[in-house]
Amino acid sequence: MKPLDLIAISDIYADLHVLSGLVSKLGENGRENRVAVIAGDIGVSSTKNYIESVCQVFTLLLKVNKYVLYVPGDSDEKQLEVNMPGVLNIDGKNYVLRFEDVNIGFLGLGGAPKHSVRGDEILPYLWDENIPTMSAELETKLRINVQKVAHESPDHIILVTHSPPYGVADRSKPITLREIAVLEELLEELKGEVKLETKKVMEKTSSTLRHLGSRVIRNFVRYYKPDIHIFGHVYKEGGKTQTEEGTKFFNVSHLSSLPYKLTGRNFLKLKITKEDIIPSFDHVITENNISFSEFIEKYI
Amino acid sequence: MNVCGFREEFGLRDDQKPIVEEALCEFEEFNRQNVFISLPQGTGKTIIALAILSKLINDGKVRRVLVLIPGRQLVKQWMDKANMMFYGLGLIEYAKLSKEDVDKIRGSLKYLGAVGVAMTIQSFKNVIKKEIFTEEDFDIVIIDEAADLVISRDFIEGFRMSKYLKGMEKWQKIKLFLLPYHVSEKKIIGLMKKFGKNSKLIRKMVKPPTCTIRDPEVIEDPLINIFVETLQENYKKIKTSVHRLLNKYGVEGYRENLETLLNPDTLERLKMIYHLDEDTLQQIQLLIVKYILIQHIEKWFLYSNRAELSRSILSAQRDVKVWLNNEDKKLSKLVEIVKNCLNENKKVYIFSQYLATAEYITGSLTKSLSLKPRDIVLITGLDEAEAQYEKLSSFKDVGKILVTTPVFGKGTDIPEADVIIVYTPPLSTERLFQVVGRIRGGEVIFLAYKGYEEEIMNFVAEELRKALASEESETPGLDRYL
Repeated sequence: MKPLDLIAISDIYADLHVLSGLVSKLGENGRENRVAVIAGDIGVSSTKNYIESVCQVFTLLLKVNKYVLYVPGDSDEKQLEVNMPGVLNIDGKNYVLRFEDVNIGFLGLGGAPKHSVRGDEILPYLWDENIPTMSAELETKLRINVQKVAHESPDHIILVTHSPPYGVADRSKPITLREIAVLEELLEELKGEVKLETKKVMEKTSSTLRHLGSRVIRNFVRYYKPDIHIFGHVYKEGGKTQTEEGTKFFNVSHLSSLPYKLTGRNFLKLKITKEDIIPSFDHVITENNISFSEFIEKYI
Repeated sequence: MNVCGFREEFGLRDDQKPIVEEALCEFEEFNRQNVFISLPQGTGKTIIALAILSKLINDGKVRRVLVLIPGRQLVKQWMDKANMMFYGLGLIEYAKLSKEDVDKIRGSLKYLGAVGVAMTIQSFKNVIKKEIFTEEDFDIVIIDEAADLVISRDFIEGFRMSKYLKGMEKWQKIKLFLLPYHVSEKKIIGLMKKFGKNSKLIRKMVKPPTCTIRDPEVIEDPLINIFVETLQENYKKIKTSVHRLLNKYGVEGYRENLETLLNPDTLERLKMIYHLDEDTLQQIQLLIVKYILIQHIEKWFLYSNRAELSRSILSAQRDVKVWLNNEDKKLSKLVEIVKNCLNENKKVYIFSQYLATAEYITGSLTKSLSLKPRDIVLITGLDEAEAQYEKLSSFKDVGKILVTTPVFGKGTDIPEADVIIVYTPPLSTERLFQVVGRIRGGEVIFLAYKGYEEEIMNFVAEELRKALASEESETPGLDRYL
């Protein structure tokens, strides 16, 4: 039996150049055994031809993947629907994928908590989990979907959200899509202007490192324990993996080369069999054998 | 009969006595309102201040004291020193006071078995705003690490007062200011001007037991030298390219802080004044982005930030991949040094500028040396002030290794440590002096990769040696390297 290859990516921002690199890296061979999962921020809704660019993303991915499952991120339109065979929006929904003898249950939640982005960023898909009705609605969505998935007795349950759960690979300053703002943060660190604040101050101010993840998602994962949780959004923590109480967490941020070049071009590969899931991170790098100096020249 | 004083087993050292006498003379004979004492770190400024206070109380000059301190851990340190070394000189931590306590203090502090209240300068701001205490509640104010009062240069006033202590300059009570010696005299004079003419500065280069700066421990790792030299070359090349572009258009300034050219307003200004076209501006921006990223990456390599490197795009480069799969030679060297120190029953303090590195060091030492949790103490900004203090106490009492980020404010002493290992140097000379000044005597060890870093660390160690040996503690050349 061939394992199923699941490619998990997020925060693409319609960077078709890097995406093409990913497509050539994966190759068309093995398309039938491969599924892509996008954990949000497929494009930037405020740009011209947003839908067109999102469709291009899906088209490229479909060249090398049999299915593309996605949730929209905070930079996407909330109701991001495209009519393309093999492409499925799992935001607030569930889907059970049957591949040979393996059944994989997916459930998703798009958007991001309001507290995780900078106040001056205008983004279309944010929710405020401090509003009780809002958090209750999100919780309910997740619970209903996990119940439905569990009913199908899958071998593995995979949760796909754009936001990380609170406290897992989510420590950063509030998110910005502007590279310059990210660099300002690096500069502060380099010059030692960042004061290491106490926890109390971290929770209060927007200019310090803090946990940006969602408490609603955290609580859900804590009690319903999916096998895998894939998310993105906090790009500085991209590539982090953590295991807690049976759930393996993967921050797959971010496929685009910006806004933070150093964690960019990142993707996760999961080799899934009935019994096991083997993860490995990789980067979309076309020249693997170049010297350090050339590498810096080309990719930094 | 004295109401307070040193407990039997404690007293002033010979080098501290003349300073106490001079300060008392200024207060009692010359009726100074403000006395500024500037002494090197490790000379016992807290003890000196408490001894002065004790004498003033015994002479009936003052009854109630307000002690203002920059951070919570230092408040605890002050209270501990007052309680442990002196009788009749208890201090109360403001944060622990109830409303009833405050009312009692207004009557007499003696109800609470204390002569004063210690608080952070941040608390002071609120206290004054809410009029919980006023000037009338105290007879003397002691301000520790008073250099923080003047936070930066101001074009109009010369120096600007910290917002936390605004209003203090108008208090008519006597005030004792404690400052480290490495604060420049010019800055102290700027500060004194704020407090009026009836002020006196006592500034002495009293030598505390000095530490020995060992030659840096050199680590051989050819790959890391290639990475760092490549990054350095790139860094210089980018700098030259930006300079060339700026010269081409006759742009003045910005050379020292190229990163200001990332500011959209600055770029807009350049466009207007020097007629820089969009392409050139974009080129400048791209170069500066790279310039910042390169500096950032260099630190990852030098300071064992393997976790970040493994997650980053760099991990896809063949040589970096090899390096990441090899042992961390800097860490191995650290393990070796720490092991030797522990064998000699020495307590070790390891300083790292970066949180990730501090966590990595702690985890790795625990594993390699099979340490018990109480043996190694990690203190970072993630710990609340209370926890930081408790952890520091546990290191002093039972711990063997202390690992910290730049979490402690000035004046935090760690005399129990016999060795300081600077794993990643602090980012300024002032900070370096603070770190090194925390131990009394003992050794300071820098770690450096052979080659580029070795050269820098040799220079830092040499400059530090010279500064500690001479009367002058200012080493302007150092900041360039830190």
